[in-house]
Amino acid sequence: MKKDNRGLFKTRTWLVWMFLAGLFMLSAGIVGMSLLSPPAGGTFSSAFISMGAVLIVLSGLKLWRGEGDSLQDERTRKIGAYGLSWSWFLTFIVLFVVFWADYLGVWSPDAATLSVLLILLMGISARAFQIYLFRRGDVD
Amino acid sequence: MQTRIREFRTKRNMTQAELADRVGVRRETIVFLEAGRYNPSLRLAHRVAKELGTTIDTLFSFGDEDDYVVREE
Repeated sequence: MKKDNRGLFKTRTWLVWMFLAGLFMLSAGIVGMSLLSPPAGGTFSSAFISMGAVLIVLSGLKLWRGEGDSLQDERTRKIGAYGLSWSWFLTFIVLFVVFWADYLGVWSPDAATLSVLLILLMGISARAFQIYLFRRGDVD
Repeated sequence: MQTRIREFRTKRNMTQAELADRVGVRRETIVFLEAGRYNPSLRLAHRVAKELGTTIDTLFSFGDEDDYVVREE
């Protein structure tokens, strides 16, 4: 008996909404940057632009590759979970390194820089690990 | 791990996509299963064996059986 294992967050409709939300946030950030006065305007606008860009890239890539209607099965869920957990561990190591770099005065990033770094690192590394595991076939 | 999935599948004139559809997985999963590069869950192994009209023991084999240490009580 075949079950429809399409996860909610993998359906084409959801990806389209994500893409539109990303476009909206990006536009709002750009408009806010020109209309709102700094420093509040700059901070909120940067956040909106960053989040909008991330949403557009993530959902846009999936839509372009036609992943909106793909089936989730035990293998994709397993590899997805392992990719995320490896990414978490890598981010943990990076945070550890950043802490010591800051403590020793080598590099002291501000919150915004660190946030963007971690957001990009987690997103990109998770996807990279998943791609690697998908090509290998299994996690062991 | 070695499998005889391809052998049984072709005997039944079934494509990878058809088998994948019947057991509820992606075609890529069947590809990696046949190549012995993916260790399925017991549930999936059972489903595949049932669709191919055989048993899990017949479909899957795991290297040298002497690798296992049997404790005698």
